[in-house]
Amino acid sequence: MWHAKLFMMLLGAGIFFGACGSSCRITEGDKPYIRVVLSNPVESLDPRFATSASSSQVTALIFAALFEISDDLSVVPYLAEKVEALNDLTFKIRLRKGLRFHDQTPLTAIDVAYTFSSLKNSKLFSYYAPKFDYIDEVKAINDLDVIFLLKRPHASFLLDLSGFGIISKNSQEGSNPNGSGPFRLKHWNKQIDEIKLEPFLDWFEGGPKNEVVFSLVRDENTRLLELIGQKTDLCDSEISPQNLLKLKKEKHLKIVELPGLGFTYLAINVRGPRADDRVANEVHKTRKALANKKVRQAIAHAIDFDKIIDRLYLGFADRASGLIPNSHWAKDENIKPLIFAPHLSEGLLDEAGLKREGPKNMRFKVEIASIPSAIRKNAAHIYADSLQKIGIDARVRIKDWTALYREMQQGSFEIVSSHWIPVLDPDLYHWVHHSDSIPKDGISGGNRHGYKNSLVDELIDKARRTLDKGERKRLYSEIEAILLAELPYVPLWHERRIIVQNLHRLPNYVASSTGSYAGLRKIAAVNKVRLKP
Amino acid sequence: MSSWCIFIVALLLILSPISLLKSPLLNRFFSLLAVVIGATMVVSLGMRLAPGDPVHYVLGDQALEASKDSLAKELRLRDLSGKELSFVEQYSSFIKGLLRNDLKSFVSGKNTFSAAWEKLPYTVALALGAMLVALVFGTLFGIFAAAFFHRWPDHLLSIFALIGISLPSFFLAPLLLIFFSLTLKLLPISGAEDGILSLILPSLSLGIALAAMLARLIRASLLEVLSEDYIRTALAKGLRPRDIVIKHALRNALVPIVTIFGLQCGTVLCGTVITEKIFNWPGLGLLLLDSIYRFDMPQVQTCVLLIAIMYAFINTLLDFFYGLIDPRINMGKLQ
Repeated sequence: MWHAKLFMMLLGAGIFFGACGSSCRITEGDKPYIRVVLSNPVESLDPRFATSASSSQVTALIFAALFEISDDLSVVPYLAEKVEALNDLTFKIRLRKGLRFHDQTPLTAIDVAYTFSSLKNSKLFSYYAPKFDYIDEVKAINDLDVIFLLKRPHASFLLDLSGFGIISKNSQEGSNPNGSGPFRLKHWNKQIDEIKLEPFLDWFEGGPKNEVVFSLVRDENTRLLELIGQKTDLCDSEISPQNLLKLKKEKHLKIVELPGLGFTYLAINVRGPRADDRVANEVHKTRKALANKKVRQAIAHAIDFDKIIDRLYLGFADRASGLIPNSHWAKDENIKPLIFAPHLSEGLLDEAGLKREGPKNMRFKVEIASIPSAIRKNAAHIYADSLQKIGIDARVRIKDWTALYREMQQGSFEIVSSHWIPVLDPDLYHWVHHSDSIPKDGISGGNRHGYKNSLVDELIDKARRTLDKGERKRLYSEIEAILLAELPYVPLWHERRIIVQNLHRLPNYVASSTGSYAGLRKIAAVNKVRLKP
Repeated sequence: MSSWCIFIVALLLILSPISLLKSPLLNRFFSLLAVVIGATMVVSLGMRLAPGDPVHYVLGDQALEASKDSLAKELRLRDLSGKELSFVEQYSSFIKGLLRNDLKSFVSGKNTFSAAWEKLPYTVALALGAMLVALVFGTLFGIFAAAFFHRWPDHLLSIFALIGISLPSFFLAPLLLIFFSLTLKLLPISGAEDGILSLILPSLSLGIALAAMLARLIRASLLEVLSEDYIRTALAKGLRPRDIVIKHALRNALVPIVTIFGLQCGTVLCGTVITEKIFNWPGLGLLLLDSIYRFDMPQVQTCVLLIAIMYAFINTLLDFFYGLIDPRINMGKLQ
């Protein structure tokens, strides 16, 4: 008898809970602020220490920079009114009149000088100190004019200044961020990783209309559910192509696709055999093969990258012919990506003297390393499968990024599938392919594949010294053409940037192609009424 | 090598009194200390052996060697002469920092205890919520299944229990979210803004597997006790079945269940990392995860220390609970 009572109690509790639900439903989407989700934590709101993507994005709204990057990736004045190049090494920048920090103190040239001079403090340990190492001195002439003296000509100087917020000379470590951007910090709840910004009404373009709340949501599926459930208004973080297809079915969501600025590639170790290799060794054979240009060309022609973009990325990526994004001003449209031609690959490998042999009828062994990301891992298996077909015994090795990075720095990899974060200026070529950037004796460098070409070095150096945009474009086209023939990197694709926004709440939000949240400062008041399902 | 020897000898000296102690309280205290030291030491060693460099994380690829060296000294990874500190030196630096309460995060430079302390209430709330789910549902379903042994409610609950044990939380959590948050719109999708309502789904997700296991254990344990002579005697005396099960059988069946429950608390505390990530619950697990990614060793050590203390504390509490449920078990007398 008591069993039946217990059963009835459980049933009753269920009915009560269900009935209560109809009267106390959770209502999302009627908030008076814009809710934006971030995928990685904000570590600091000081521009000198904002290293993660989220930190940079949020900091840029609080701390305005001298310049900003427009949608066509050109540098345009922001806090600066104009810039004058007195010579290759001296730039005079004039600030807008009447600029103020959030605490109402005026923003002057002294603050600009302080911002960049503070990076030279050896105890500051700023991530950005090496980036501005080429700046010799920053001098304030008067309240509005500031002079930058460079140690050597640096074509990407103005681009480097854009995105780096100006801090007040009175700022103190640990105090509330005091910037001069369109938003000011209202509250940073570190317990729940939530940052609330309020409009700065004295902003020179006129204060924004809405408060913005940035919330950290690490899990992709949760971000997805928040968008569907209208808890979140805007998401500019990683969402896999498969999940994007699901979001496309939601009528209240708008999916904006922008050309990607990142660059995915296969890096091939071109160092060749080591002195301590045994000649008969398989490793020796692989290293020797990969140092041969024809073998690298064979690898590039053997893989159907268009099909991978179509099937794996579901079209959310664009083929790359080099490091420079397709939408960039420096991109030469005449340089086309390599075609899929496995028949050419077989011929090239034969020409390189690598014959099929042994019980497996293979030419040589190679290892493709990748990080454990699902999409990269799957792509790596497709590369290996394609290489098997032309007689290269390829196998995939998945490694955690830190372990893989260490191998790359040591140059002890064969082929690595990896990715460069947004390429805003082609000067990145210096870090990636210049022989000065080959890591050695514990000193880091981006040329982890050990590529050396004196002509490429010369062109990169020349492009770095050249301030004329047209001439720079010509030089980078030349570099890109050489690299496409030599293939130390096999260029794969530029993944598109995807922004998901609540169409009902933010109908007029214009996403920036540079990855910033600049669109938030121009948006009209949000619709506070919840969309009826 | 010699520093290693000194370290091990010192550790043995600290832990050796455990076996000699007569007082169960002191014994438990030193056991707790051993667990905490052991856990932080293993984690510190793991972090040291793992590839990755906090200096590189803070300063980036292009940093100058002088800056790297200077920061490594600042973070107490190298000594003033630039020599890398040994594990023992680093660990003793951690202990010193802990005792002085000036242990700083490598990345944020903030006090690691303050950072962890801010998150601790959320993890405690989640762990307690999950244990409550496990206790309520596990006990009810266990008793119910035993009472209806080999009848349809027993079979049905056994199937549910099997499903509960088999479903990993990373799969169950999105299902709960889709049903309760998106379809029924009863509970919030993520975060902790809605107080107790926000806690329901993470607790269910974390507690269901434990509840399923407890239900199976209680059922098996109860069935064994219910076949004892004294139960038959009680039935023959005309006692009500409810009183027999709850007052006599359940109490005797609880001892092995409490042991398993205590051990499972560790699983619950570790499981919070995944659950916190899915439900965006701002607990200690996520702080630990972020700190591991950033090679922030002091923050990792502090988080592990707190988790180890919680685990040891819960198990100590349960040890004393044995005496309550079965007076024959007395900690002092056992000693």
